[in-house]
Amino acid sequence: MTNNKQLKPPKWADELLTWICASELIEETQGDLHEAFHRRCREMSRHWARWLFVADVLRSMSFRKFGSSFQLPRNSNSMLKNYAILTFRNLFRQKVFSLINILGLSIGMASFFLIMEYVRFEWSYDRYFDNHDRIYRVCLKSQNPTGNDLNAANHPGTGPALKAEYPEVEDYARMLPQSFRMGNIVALSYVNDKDQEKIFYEEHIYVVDPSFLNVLSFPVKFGNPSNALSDPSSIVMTESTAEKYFGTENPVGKILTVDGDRQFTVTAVLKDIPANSHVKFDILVSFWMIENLPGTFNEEGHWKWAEFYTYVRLSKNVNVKNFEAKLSGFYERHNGELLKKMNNREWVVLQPLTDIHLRSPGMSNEREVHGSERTVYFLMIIAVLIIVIAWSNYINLSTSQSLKRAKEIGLRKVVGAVKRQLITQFLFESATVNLLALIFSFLLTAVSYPYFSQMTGKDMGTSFFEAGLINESAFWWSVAAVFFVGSFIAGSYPAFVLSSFRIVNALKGSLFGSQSGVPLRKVLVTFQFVISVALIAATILSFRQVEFMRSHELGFAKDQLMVIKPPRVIDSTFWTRQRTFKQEIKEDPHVRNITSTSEIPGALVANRNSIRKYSQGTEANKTVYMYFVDKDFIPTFGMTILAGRNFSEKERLISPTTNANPILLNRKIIEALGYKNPEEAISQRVYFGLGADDWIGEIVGVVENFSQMSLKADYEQMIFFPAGFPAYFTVNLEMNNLQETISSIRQKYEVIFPGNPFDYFFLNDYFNRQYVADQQFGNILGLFTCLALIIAALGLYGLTIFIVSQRTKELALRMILGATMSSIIRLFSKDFVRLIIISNVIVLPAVYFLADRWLANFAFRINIGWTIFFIPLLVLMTISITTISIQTIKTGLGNPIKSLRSE
Amino acid sequence: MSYQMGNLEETVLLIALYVVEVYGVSVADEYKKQTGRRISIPAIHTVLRRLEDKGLLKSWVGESIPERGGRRKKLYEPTAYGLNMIVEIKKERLRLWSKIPALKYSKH
Repeated sequence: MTNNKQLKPPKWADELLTWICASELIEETQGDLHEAFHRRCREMSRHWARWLFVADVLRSMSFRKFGSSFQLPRNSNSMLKNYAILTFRNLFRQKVFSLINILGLSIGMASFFLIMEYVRFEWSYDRYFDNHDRIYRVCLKSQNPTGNDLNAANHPGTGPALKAEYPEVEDYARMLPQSFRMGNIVALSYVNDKDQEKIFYEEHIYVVDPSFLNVLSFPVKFGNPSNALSDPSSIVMTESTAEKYFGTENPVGKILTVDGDRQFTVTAVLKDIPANSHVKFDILVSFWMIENLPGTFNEEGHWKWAEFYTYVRLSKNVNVKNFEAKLSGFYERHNGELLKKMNNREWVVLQPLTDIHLRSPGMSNEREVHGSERTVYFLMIIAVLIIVIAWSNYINLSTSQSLKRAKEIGLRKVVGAVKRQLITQFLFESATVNLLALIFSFLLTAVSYPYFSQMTGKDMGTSFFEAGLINESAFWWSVAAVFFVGSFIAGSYPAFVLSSFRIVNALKGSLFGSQSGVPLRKVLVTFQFVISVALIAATILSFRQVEFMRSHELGFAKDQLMVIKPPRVIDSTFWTRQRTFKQEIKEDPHVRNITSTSEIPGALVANRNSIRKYSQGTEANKTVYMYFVDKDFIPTFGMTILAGRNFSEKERLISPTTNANPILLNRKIIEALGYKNPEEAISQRVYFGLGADDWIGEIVGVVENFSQMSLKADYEQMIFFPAGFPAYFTVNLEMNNLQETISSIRQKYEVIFPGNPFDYFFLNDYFNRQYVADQQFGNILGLFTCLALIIAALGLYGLTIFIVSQRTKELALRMILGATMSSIIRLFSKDFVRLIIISNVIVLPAVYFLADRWLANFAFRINIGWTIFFIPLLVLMTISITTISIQTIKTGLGNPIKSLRSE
Repeated sequence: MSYQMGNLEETVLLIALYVVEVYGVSVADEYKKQTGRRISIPAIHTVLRRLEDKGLLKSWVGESIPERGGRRKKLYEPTAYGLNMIVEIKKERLRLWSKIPALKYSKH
């Protein structure tokens, strides 16, 4: 006997057997296996016997409980009709819950679809070009003692040399964002058969290689793209630009006059540039233009003028990484001497065309504002979170319903329903709710799409059903995924909880079996609060930062400045005329001052060059942005002179070797050059680059820093030359009587510069357009935060109804015994308040950390402050206490007798 | 008489005809003794159940012994139908054997 006791088959295998074996077979199977085990123990080693026992257990798999032929067949399919009837009965009986469920789910789904469309659009950039997978932008990486730079543009020599030297390069094309003269604006005019003239300013002009349209296959409307740019006097324009001049007729062969003297022939019209293109323009002219601009384009200029956007199309099957490695000594070979002299190193970087829009981190010289991959991922996360909030609602509300369904479930079990059938029934219900929500969400998406499209500031098309998403299988997969996850993952929890009640308890109606539902419900509510807090905090932060940037001091009087575009149709009398214009404008009592400059804040400065102390060699060169200004620049813009003086009326740049070319520098470059304070810099000599020459300059004054571009960037290093180059007239005026002032300026302009259109804008608006993208992102964030809050609030409302209805009797008793309404509200909202505080504690450290990292992208940033900790708490508290109060008061004001009688 | 029976089923039915207590362990033992091949108990169970489904065996619940961990045996016994069936099979086999020419038979 003692011997027998030790001889036990492995316990785990024995338990496995009881678990897998059908109950009607367990008796004989387990008995026989045990007997055989003992018998074997006598015949062979115990080890073997145990092994054989395990093997036998595993072979008993075929006697398993589920799906074996020994179970009674149950045909759930024949019950489907019954399930459908029941589902709709329940939906109608619980109107409020059904509505909350369907509304919440469909708002969640609609948000998901809208965000998906936005994401798809962001990812679709530049994929419409033929061979887009073989086209690369040739960027320039450079490294010198003062720092590194990744330039989106490149030297003009790079493209041709690449094609000539490497068989991997099929073709190249360069584009230079410059117009026919210096500056970016031209006046274009067309005289039709009836001698009527149409004249407009054009700004978005690129000078390109003849191969441009062969490399980047912009869709063409009229003309032949392959030779459209081969003639030096040819001009290619987009459809809507052409329409301004020619109406709807085919303009190929028509003649346009530029700035009143040069003539160009229209050779092709492109369809309007698609919204998802990384480069946008109205007009292209042939590269020949600049090759003939005097003094700008010689052999040396080939390797020291990195302003040309260069694209290459590689042959098929070229490995880009290897090719890039092959190019490592490219610039040393072509430009070694100069690079060495400048103590500079340069490399070619090939950026895939399709990466430009979303993956151009911190490149200099970008013409368009690109998107960011991080934003796209951020929005995708929000989309998923919103839909998870909606699913949490569904789970919470369905499980809380369990009390009402308990008797139904109990009775079904008594009549013979097995668990599997009940689960099928509940899954059927959740699938129905999800399907209804899906249909409704399509409606919501379609209706809200135009507004959403407008809000994003992207031209994504006006109708969701015309937009690209509907044609993509990926979209339908995500729809299917949302539906199935919603129906069968979110739906399965209630299904399992509801179907596993014990019959007797269920029939008694006393199933605080649903106690088991409470912890999960709390977890889900906390989760919803956590997401809400995070979203609210993110929205507040982004709005505050944008508002901060819009209202921050820029270092000049941006609110009073009006900018007039100068005349382009000019002749030899221009300089006299512009002097007259300035004088006459100044006489206007509402005008404080007027200046003509080559640059204005808010626009990318066209020219950069170098500067160093007189005593230093070229290795000490610093980069400066160049402003050509007159003596009125400082007073008109309201800038501060820190030391020294402003330019005087007669001061000009004289010649490179003259000892006293007067210049102004800003504080930033003074510091970079190593002067201790502005006073020390006055009257000091420097070398500055202008064109290809080094000039000797004398610092006559130091100007306080101002923001040239948006406040995301730090102050730039700047140099100011006394040479009134009128790319812009800027007028400082009194803001009262604005209309009158403007019309008087217009009259003077039209008299002095006949034949030129009068065009103006306010610098404040112009400057703030840099924040449009941030504002739009803030709006999108705000929108989806609101939607997430609405869904969460709906869920909260549903839960409150449930909780209050559960405690109706308690409430009535308390009222009878003299409790005040406010004490009851406090009692009932205690749980939620606790959850809100917990979720704040959980999420706020993370919010603080992420906020700090996000703000690090801005040179000028807000302090995080206490609002993002306080406002989310306040919002959630208000929402939940309000819902609870409404519900409690509604119940509490009723007749307590009724409440007490209620069953 | 139509019937369908596999080789293992036939063997088990034959064993069931002479073993004293017909249940998983005893049949498996006898099978090994007679054929020299080992067979797992669940395999025997499956066969026994299948024979019962076909009406060739009948079963009842027997007694327990300590070694079985308190579980009772399920004992089987051939039905009249089963007996008929096995006799039919034997006849059929013999008929087939008798067809084989003696010459060919004796050569090996």
